[in-house]
Amino acid sequence: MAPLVKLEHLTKTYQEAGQTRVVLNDLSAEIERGSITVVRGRSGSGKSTLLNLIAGLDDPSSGDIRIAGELVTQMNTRRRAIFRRQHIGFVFQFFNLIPTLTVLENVRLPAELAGRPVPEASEFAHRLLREVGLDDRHSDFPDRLSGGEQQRVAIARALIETPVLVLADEPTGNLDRSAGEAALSLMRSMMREREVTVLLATHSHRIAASADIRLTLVDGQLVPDVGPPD
Amino acid sequence: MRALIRAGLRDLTRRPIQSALVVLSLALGVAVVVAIDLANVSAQHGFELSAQSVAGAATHRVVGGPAGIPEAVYLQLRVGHGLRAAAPVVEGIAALPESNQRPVRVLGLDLFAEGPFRTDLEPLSAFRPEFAPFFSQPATAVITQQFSESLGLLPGDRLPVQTGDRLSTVNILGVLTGDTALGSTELLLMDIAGAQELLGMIGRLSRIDLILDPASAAELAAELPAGVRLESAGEQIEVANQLTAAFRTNLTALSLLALVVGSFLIYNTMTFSVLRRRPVLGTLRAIGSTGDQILRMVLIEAAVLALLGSAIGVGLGFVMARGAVGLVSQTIHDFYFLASVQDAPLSPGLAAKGVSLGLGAGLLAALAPAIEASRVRPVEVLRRSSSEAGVARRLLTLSASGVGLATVGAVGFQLSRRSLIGSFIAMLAILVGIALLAPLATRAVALAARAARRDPIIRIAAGSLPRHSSRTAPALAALTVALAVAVGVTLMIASFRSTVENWLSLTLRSDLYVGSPATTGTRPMASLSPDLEPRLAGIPGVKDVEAIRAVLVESEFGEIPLSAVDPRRVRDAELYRLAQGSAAEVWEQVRAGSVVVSESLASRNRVGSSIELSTDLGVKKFPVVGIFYDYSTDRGTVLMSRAVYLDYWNDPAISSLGLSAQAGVEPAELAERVRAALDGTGLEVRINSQVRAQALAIFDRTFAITAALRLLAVVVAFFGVLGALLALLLERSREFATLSALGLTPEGLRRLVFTESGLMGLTASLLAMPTGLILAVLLIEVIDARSFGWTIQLELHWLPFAQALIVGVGASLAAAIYPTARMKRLSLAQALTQE
Repeated sequence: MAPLVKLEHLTKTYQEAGQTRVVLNDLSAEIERGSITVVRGRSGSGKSTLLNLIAGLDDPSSGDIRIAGELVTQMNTRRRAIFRRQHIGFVFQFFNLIPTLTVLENVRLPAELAGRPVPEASEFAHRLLREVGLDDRHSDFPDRLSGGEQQRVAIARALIETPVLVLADEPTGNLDRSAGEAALSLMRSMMREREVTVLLATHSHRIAASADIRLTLVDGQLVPDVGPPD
Repeated sequence: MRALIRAGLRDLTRRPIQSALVVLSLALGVAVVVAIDLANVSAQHGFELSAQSVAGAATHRVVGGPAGIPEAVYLQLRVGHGLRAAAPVVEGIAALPESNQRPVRVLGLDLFAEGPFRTDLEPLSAFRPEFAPFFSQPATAVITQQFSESLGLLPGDRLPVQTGDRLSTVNILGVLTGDTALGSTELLLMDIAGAQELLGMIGRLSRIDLILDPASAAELAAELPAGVRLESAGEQIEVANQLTAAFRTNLTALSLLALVVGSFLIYNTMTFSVLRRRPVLGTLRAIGSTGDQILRMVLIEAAVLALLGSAIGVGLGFVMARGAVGLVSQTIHDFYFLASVQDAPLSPGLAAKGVSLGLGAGLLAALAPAIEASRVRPVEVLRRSSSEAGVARRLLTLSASGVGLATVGAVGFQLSRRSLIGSFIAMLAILVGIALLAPLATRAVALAARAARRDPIIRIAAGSLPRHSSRTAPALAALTVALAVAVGVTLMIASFRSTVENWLSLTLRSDLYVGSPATTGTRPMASLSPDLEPRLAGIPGVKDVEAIRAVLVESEFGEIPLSAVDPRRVRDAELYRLAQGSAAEVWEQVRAGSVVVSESLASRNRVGSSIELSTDLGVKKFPVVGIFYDYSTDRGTVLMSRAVYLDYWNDPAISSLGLSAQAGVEPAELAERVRAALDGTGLEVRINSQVRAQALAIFDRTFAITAALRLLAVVVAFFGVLGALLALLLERSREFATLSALGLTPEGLRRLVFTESGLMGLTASLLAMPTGLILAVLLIEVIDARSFGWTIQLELHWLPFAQALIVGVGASLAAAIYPTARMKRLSLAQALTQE
């Protein structure tokens, strides 16, 4: 089976105080369709940069990224936005819910941006909210929810457009241990059920332990993660 | 405390665009106040200077009726009363045909009697041979340095001048230097006999200057003959100040508007700043800063912005004053008196006033956010959403306060009937009260927008506005105030113009008008020969000639304009606000010796059933049988039959003539015939439509400065919206990045910002429309009546409302251009991980 994500000679450098810092260095890798892949690494090792490049939120200094056979790095900004809307879901460390939209509106937002009729989008959003256990909070605004609840809403939002790939950047980084574990367990089960490919960035061995594939970013390169669980 | 201040000031420099916008807004507000202040002071100063220099050292003056006083009175004072410090003066206005009929003062003095009054006319000494023609040749004048410079005239030049229906040429003999008291004004100085000849006042004087102690003055006043009276020299200046007081107060009130709008923006910026820094402020409290110190820090930040804005504003105001002086002095010229206004001097007092106003407005506006900052609890970790939720909870309180303030304003307005300043303060309270409803209006517009469209971008935009109300409300309020004032003032001016147009069509009933070009605006200046009436009546095609005499007469209410009109033509009933009987009955009584007074005279002075006027036969009481609408002057006018006027005043001269054409004769054709008959007199012959157009041109010129002021307020509000959008964009970069990550295209993001901005403009416009209408009603029904005594019919027109919508939404959309352009630089990856 062809890999869902293919990274080809990816390099990303930053200019910092007159110095060039290489974050990703001629990185090539493939991520299998339907797998849960965890990328581990120290703070500042380039995990978020890698996810942002795959999502087309940032441009690599050189190299290519293919997702489902499409060359993301050759797309313009508008095309990338549409591509994300159709194929990629996100779960962020700080949840990134839109504070001015209700829980229901947040969940159905990607569907609406894709031009789906609101009743259809609402129905699917309610179904997802039931799955994450928050349908009774659908009319609340995000600031009324706890961190764990907000992350569950973000998981529901990530799945509304039935993406092929979900990118999760430190999804438990802003939650306490029990809320983090609950969110992670929910995410894992929902993704597996839908056979969604997950690429998760974290610094935690414990989270990495439950992944299908464990990788570590070291010196701008992805290597198999062999570290002990914490 | 120093570290705190340093931290606060650094925060200002880290937000350079927002800080610059506040400084600029406040600078514009202060500049407008300073410019109008300077213009008012310059006009006043110009008049006082020319009045004082023309009066010299005189303490008193003997004056008479419209035709002046007989020379015999001077002899009587000098010989009969033995007054040595007495000097005869002849004064009038001439027009300069070669300089677009520019008016200039003609001053005729008897230099041999001027010794005690003017010590600086030594250069004109009769003993200097080069000045001999001044005394010996007619039509010879010395001009002042200012006049010489402004017209490029030199000794030896010949200057054509028009006085009444006489065209003459004056020989320029010399130039009075600027170091003399008279030198700084614009005038033609002549020997008294020459001036009498030029102005058609042979055997008569305009006044007699005197130096008297109070006791002698009282004694003399009692002994003067009928038709002649004594007044103090300072009286004229006082009267002039009173005349223009309402006009100046109105301008000052309007000039303060931009500052009020600017204050909203200071409030806006400081509220932004405090909300954004809540965690920092909490940390500062945790490490030992007291609430007072935080309060001082925020106030010092505001003071720095305000001081900077005020300093720039004072400089800008000085530059803007050059334009404002011209507009203000033109209006004073048109409506009140001739004053040579010079360049506005920026005194330290005026500069200090501008800075104090700007600083005061800045500190006042920053007080509420500063208090809020001082109450932040230690280790405050509340996110802004909590504060926004708090603001939302306070929505009802804020709206109730708005309604309360507006109600207090409305009650205050009723109570301050006689106080113009009180009326303006009450109007401001009403305006600000309604502006406090901006967050409520935002919520209503947001709900409507959410219900109206299923478009997610519109829904996000509509949802974000009320929830960011702490960011947007002050900018919205500022825009609402500016737009409401624009709607109110535009409606008032449009209604006023339409009322004046209607009045002109009722008043201007003749086909042609003949008058002196020197009679501009509403100043009665020219005296035309009475034999013009039969001369014009004899021209073929003329059906009727109506002679009008417009003069200033002394009354129980001071000097007032009087129009003596042909008693044959009955005035329309529509011209009367109050009348004793039908129009025909009123006019019958006017023919018999009664008078009618204009509404501004009646309301200003509470004229009763009669009015006392100083005639050449002494003080006489005339019954008042009606009050008529008149918009020619806010001084008010007394209208009487010319036949009655000639019975009481020895003044057969006329000021202008109205001619009716016979049936079948075209007014334009008749005008040509009349011009041919009047060839060589320099008189102007204008057809009805030209007179009407000139009157409306003066009207439009009068309100030109008002138009400029309301535009400036909108410009200041535009900066407010721009600042609010920039701050919102900065703070919502993570939200925008998330939307982008979820698949919103760059065009979609731009549409989102433009939609939000457009909704802000729409909210402000919608709220400004009823507010503007209320303001127009207040301005028309009360302020104009209180300031000038005029009744204006409110005329509703769609245009000011449409303008408010276009300007409000347009300015808001324009303000979004720069923030959306900046969004291109937004790093999505960075913004997504911001906490």
